[in-house]
Order: sequence, then structure tokens, then C-alpha cells
Amino acid sequence: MHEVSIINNLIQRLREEIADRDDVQQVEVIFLKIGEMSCAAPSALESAFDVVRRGTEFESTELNIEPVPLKVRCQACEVEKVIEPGPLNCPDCGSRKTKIVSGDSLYLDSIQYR
Amino acid sequence: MVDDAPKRIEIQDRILKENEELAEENKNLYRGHDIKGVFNLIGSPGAGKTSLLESIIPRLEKAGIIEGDIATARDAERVHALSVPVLQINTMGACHLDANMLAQVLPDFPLPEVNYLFIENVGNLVCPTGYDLGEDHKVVVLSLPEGEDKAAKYPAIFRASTLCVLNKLDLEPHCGVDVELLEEDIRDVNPDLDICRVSCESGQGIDELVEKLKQLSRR
Ligand SMILES: Nc1nc2c(ncn2[C@@H]2O[C@H](COP(=O)(O)OP(=O)(O)OP(=O)(O)O)[C@@H](O)[C@H]2O)c(=O)[nH]1
Ligand SMILES: [Mg+2]
Ligand SMILES: [Zn+2]
Repeated sequence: MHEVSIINNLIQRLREEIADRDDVQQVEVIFLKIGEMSCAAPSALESAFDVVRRGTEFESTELNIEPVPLKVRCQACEVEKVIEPGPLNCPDCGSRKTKIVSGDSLYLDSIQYR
Repeated sequence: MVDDAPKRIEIQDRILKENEELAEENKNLYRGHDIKGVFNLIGSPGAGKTSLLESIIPRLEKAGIIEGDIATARDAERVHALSVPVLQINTMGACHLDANMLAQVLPDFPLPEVNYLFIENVGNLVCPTGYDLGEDHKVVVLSLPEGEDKAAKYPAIFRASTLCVLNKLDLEPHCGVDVELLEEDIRDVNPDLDICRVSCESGQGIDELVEKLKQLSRR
């Protein structure tokens, strides 16, 4: 459900970003990087974008979402591994002392425009 | 010749940056008023967030409550009986509170009168996780009847919290949940999480929880 809020935040963010640039006529593609443990599902973000963009300057803009796998770093064996969201133990040694390296954030990567 | 090739702007920043900035402003406001602890209570509908407030508030000196609800003021009406400052935020359908909603109402809240501020988020284990409100601690409230698998299924909130309240301990014999296993699963997601087992029904564990909340607060 909160994917709509995220998209609203995104659009506001983009408007600020391009407000003081007169070379942007049309935003063609928005590139996002969405972590698998970020609490936002790419498909839900796409549906939300489909609704929210109607009647705005982003009506014909494409949303490109790159899912970012969840990666942890084990402090015991110092290995970095991609794991499924869930228990965050090291998949190699089982240690609980892991740090999340990537896959837990919502990122606006770039925009393509004309 | 006009160059008509598409161009790029690299932004590489968090989508919710604005919320994070507003949360920082809220935090400065809480700090400016010397509030000892600000707690953001997150849990599924019916986990017992309001019941917990009813149990702990009478045991804390100078607490205040901000109630977030999609609709109705029922929780706010319930906690009014506690005779502490209460403010209600109606999220108008949104499934979580955000920093801006807090920023809007904080000027109307008697911050100088409270030592401890509790924010009851909208009943939801997912959406509130990504929206910092400027709190000192996220407290995840999980009740035993919700089942053993919740930490594995919703790891983000368990990872983001400093304290987990396991509520409805009185129902343990009835819901077939092994609390030891449940705690082990939670620690697989976040080994640093403090866990308090309580029952708002019997009062078991409430004193320990109050002590823990004081420990987590500034002196
Ligand atoms: N048996 C038992 N019931 C409890 C306990 N704590 C709360 N309840 C009951 O659980 C129900 C829901 O409790 P609430 O405190 O309203 O839950 P909540 O998390 O505030 O719910 P929302 O605000 O709707 O998200 C109520 O009927 C409470 O009486 C407990 O420790 N044991
Ligand atoms: Mg409630
Ligand atoms: Zn390891």
C-alpha cells in the first residue's frame, strides 16, 4: 500500500531535481534500484506509478526498476554473500554477526531525458 | 547540428530523503525539549500496542502519546483515560505515519511537559518500517497468536528495532507457539534486539519492560 506514498515522494523529488534545469523537456526513463529487503515490491511500485503519473508531466515516462539482492557480510568469516530476505545469519558459518551490505534501501539512481 | 540523443542525470540518492530530513528536524525538536525517550511502536493490527500503552504509561513519570490511525479516534479516546497529553493523527488512508505528519502536529503538542513520548504507528508490520519519524527507538510489538514465523517473514522491522515486545504471553498454552523458538528466530534476524515477554492481560513482564524503556532513555 505505501508504494503509492513512495511514488509520490519520488515524483516530488524529480520535480525538485529538474526545476532549475531548462534543458529537460521530457523525462523518458526513471531508473530505480530497489532492495529486496526494502519493504517495497517492484510490481507494486509499477502499479502505483501507473496510477500516479496520469495527468502529470510523467504520463509517458517509463519506470525502470532494478531489484537489488540482499547481501550480507559475515564478521566471523569475512565473506560477502547474497541471501534471501529472512534470517540474516551467515549462509556459510551460521554466525549471527552479519552486516547488511546492500539490498535494504530505496534508491533513485538516474533519469534519462530529452 | 542539434544533438537529440537522450541524456542522463545521475542522482544516486535515497527516494525518501525528504522524509529523513524531516525526521532529523523532528528529532532536534524532541532533543530541544529534553525528552528522555521517543518510542515508535510498530506492530500488526491487534498486536496490543494500545494495550501496552495502557499498561506502561501509569508506571512512567510524565509520558505523552501520539496516536496514528487510518480512521477513527478510538485509540486516542481509549488512552485519554490515562490523563496524559494525547494527540491523534488521522492518516487519511495511509498505512503508516511519516515524518511530515508528525512535523505538522508537534507544534500543537505540549512537548515541554513530557519525559517519554510514545508514538503508536498504524497497525502494520511492513509499511511503517521505512519511515523514520525522528524517534530514538523503534519498538516492534508482536503477539504470540500471530505465529512463530513473523521475524523471518518481516525481517526489516525486526532488524530496524531496538526492542521487541512479545505480547499476549498468557495465550502461550492456547496458540501452540514455542516462545523459545520464536526468540531464536528473532535473534537470527537481529541478535542485538532486546526482547521483553509480557502480557497486558495478566501484567506479567510489564515492570521489566518499564525498566527496559527507562534504560533505553537518556538520564
Ligand atoms: N489475551 C490477551 N489479550 C490481549 C493482550 N494484550 C492485548 N490484548 C487484546 O488484544 C486486542 C487488541 O489489542 P489492542 O491494544 O487494541 O491492539 P493494537 O495493536 O493497538 O491494535 P490496532 O491499534 O488496531 O493496530 C484487544 O482485544 C486486547 O484486549 C494480552 O496480553 N493478552
Ligand atoms: Mg491501537
Ligand atoms: Zn560466516
